[in-house]
Amino acid sequence: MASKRIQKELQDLQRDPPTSCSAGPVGEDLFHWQATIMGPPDSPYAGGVFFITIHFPPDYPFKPPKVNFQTKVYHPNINSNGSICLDILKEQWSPALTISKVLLSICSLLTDPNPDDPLVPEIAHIYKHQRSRYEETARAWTQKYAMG
Amino acid sequence: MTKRGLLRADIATECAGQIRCRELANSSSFCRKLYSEIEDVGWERLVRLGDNLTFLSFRILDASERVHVMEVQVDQTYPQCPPSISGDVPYIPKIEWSATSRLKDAVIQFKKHVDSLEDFWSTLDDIDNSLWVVDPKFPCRAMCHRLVNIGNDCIVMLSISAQNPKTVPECRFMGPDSSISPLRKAWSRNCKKWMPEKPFRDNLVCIFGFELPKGPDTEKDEQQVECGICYAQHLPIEDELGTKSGCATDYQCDNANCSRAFHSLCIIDWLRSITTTRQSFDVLFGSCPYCSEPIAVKINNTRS
Repeated sequence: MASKRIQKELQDLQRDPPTSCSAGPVGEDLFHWQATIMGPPDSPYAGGVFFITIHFPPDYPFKPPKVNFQTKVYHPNINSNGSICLDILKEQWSPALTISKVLLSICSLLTDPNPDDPLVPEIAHIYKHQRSRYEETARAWTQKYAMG
Repeated sequence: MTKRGLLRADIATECAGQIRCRELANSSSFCRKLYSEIEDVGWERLVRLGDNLTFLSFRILDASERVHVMEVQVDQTYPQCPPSISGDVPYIPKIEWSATSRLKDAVIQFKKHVDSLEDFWSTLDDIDNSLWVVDPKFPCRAMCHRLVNIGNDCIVMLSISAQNPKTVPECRFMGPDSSISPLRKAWSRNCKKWMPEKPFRDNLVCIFGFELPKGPDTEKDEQQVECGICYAQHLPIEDELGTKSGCATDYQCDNANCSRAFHSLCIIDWLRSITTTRQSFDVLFGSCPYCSEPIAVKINNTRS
């Protein structure tokens, strides 16, 4: 069941790809994908290309996919391992969601961090109290890790 | 009654009889004339004939073999007075009529008229077949407007000109202000790009700059038969699934705005996998993964 549904999502992605993201299997394994997200233009991540790995659990879509950043990102909800703190990837997951919707949610998380449920408290603190410093660092990291 | 009185009554009856005879003679010549003129047109084309022959209708085929009905009303003074013509057409042609004209001449002129409307009807057929027409559901051939759902809660009312059907149609937008003001702008900016030879739908897509929804029939079919969880129409054929093996979707969200279809097996597996689901006897209570409205699914008979 999982592989059929993943195949269908892949077809839908290829037929109607979302703007600013792309995704597909890495090799032969349908359960292991790689995705790219363009840094949203209205964020300090603008101009960056961020790589993401996606692992589908065998009981997908009953369980959420495991989604991690491969590219280093300076963000209150993304830690140095690339783990993402996003409700729809945890308790708010629903089989009505798709990889395409997940990627779009990650895009909006880049634009609007959620400092009240942080994964990296220090960055959340800077985001809340020294916004320009946060933006500066995020821009510098984007330049360093997500460009070229 | 006196003898004289009887005589007078006889004369009166006779007079009345003569008048009736004259009327009959007149009407029989009227009938004869009409019958011969119907013969002219062809009896096979006659659809209806009123009792006193003052109303008749003919079947007319246009160049694309659409069937039209031409209705003809004549009075007893026919053919001095031209027949009055009506039909399921956007406008009625003016019938040229002289003392020597026959019904056939009116039929020929009407046929010419429906042939001249070929482009008009093919444009409307094109709209009906390629766009999501919400009104009229069962359009008649005389109607030149269509209400088309173009998505985003917007409806556009198109009025096709019967004389110039291939030109830019008249257009009115209905829907929330925020959605229709960009549509209006796109329309006024791009309507000069209208190409008469292009399909109607392509022209609209070109003007608005986005894809338009297809009719609900095609869209719903695709959506409804697929399970919202496994995305397949039918469950796989496996012994493990028992009677449910290979079955189609058999559960639907009750919320009329959602009506997502699921395999009961899939929705039960989902409800069982989350902690917010409550069970009472053999019914699972949870919420639809799509619209979040409460749903209740019976777990009886799902696995035999």
